[in-house]
Amino acid sequence: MRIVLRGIGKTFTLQDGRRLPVLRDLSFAVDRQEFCCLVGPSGCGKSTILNIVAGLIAPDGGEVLGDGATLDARRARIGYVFQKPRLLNWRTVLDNVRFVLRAAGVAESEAAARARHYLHLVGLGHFVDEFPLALSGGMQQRVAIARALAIEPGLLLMDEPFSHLDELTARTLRAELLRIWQRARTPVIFVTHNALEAVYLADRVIVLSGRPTTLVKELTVALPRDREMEDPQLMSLHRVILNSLGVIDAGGAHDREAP
Amino acid sequence: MRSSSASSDAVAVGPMRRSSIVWHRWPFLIHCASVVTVLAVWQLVAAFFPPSLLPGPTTVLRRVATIVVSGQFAFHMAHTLARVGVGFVCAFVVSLALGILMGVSRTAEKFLELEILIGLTVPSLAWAVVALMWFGIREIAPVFTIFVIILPLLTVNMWQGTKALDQDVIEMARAFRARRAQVVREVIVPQLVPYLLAATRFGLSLAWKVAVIAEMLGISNGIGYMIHYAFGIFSMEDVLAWTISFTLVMIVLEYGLLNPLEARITRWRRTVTL
Repeated sequence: MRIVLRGIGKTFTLQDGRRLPVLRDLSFAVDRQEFCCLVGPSGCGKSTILNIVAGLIAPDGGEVLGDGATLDARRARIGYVFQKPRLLNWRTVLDNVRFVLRAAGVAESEAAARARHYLHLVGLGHFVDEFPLALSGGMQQRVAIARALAIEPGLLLMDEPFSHLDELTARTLRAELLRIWQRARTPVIFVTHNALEAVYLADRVIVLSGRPTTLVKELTVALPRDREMEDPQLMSLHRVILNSLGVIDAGGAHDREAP
Repeated sequence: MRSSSASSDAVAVGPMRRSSIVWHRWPFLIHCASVVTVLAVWQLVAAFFPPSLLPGPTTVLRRVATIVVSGQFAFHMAHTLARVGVGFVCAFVVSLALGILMGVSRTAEKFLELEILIGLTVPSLAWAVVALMWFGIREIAPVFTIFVIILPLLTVNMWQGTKALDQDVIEMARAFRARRAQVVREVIVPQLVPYLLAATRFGLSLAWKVAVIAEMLGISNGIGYMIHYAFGIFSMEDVLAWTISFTLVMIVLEYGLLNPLEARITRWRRTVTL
């Protein structure tokens, strides 16, 4: 599916009645089979964009298109991985995946096998009968990824899914995400404030800034997928992004994003 | 409410696991020793008083056996149980509606807050007298008394449970297009269950006490009536026998039924972190 956001605007009304414009006339597209990262400082409305695409909140203006027609979030299968795992802690790992399969209308007879398959894919084949609280944070996030993949989505939304994990775990999960993603190449919109993570993962990086959010820069990462985080080419792209955000001048002296 | 976090579990469970098995047995022995001590002290103290004021434990326990074997106890217990059951179920249903409403709507919360607070404060006996004057010597009097006294207590629990719902998980379910019925059944109700259980325990333990008080006024059967009757003929032996056998049944229900049920339903909380 090719996703197009056209002229999206959103203003929130705060408790005290003030109006806070978050998005104004924002447009960009995500191609079929494209891994697209949205990078920007915290609080610049990145999650709002995902929630609008997912149909969780309605934009004040503009439209979201899927393959040229208005994207009906109720019909389109959209997988969502949140910042925190957001699991049903009272259900086993397997039942957590089955929960979304039931919501997606997958037959019960097929659901268990499919849930097992995706849990196996994220390396949790031996933990299907555990309760989430028995798992580490990284493993819980793996469950959340398996849950999003299991519905075999037409679009995958990821909202800083690795930002709560330690860097070693995050690295492993990033590499595994790419390994799995390359099998189906579902279009991904991946939100992060970590510019290096963005250039490591993405086909294309969209840099956002300010409130209301504006598109600062777009850059294509035309490197083959066996990327290394320490690759000098990635590092220089990383620096380009930080530059465009005004974080550093040249030398990376204030670079707080790099691991 | 238990509020164990995953991380503290991880610290506690690992190194202490083996010794906890030993401690698992000790409390039972300590409980036994405690009961024996109480009986011994009772026996000792009773020796200094006339039986009409404080009969010894053997006398009372023999009396317990008599009322149980004769079927008297079962008859009156059944009446008390029925009153508690009906009053409790009604209060549970109403409190569930009120509590959820208060948890969801700020207006409802403000509107009902004061009434709940007052309801928690009114003495049981006052309600029992009011119910008797309203309904006369009829079954509905004690049932109403139980209902109206435990209602605010249950409502507070349901209210807190609703407010504590994890909105993030509900949003997750919406993002994956779960239908409303699925969200209620699989996301909301399971989160309320610990609160419902806590409410059940608090509510029932209060309901028994209220039932006995309500039965002392005008009703002609039930445990409360029998205690009142024993008081009328000034038989301390009977007062103690009825009280003790009633209490034993409560303990069995609490520890034999409600505790294991709660442990089973909330077993997902007690886990070892990998």
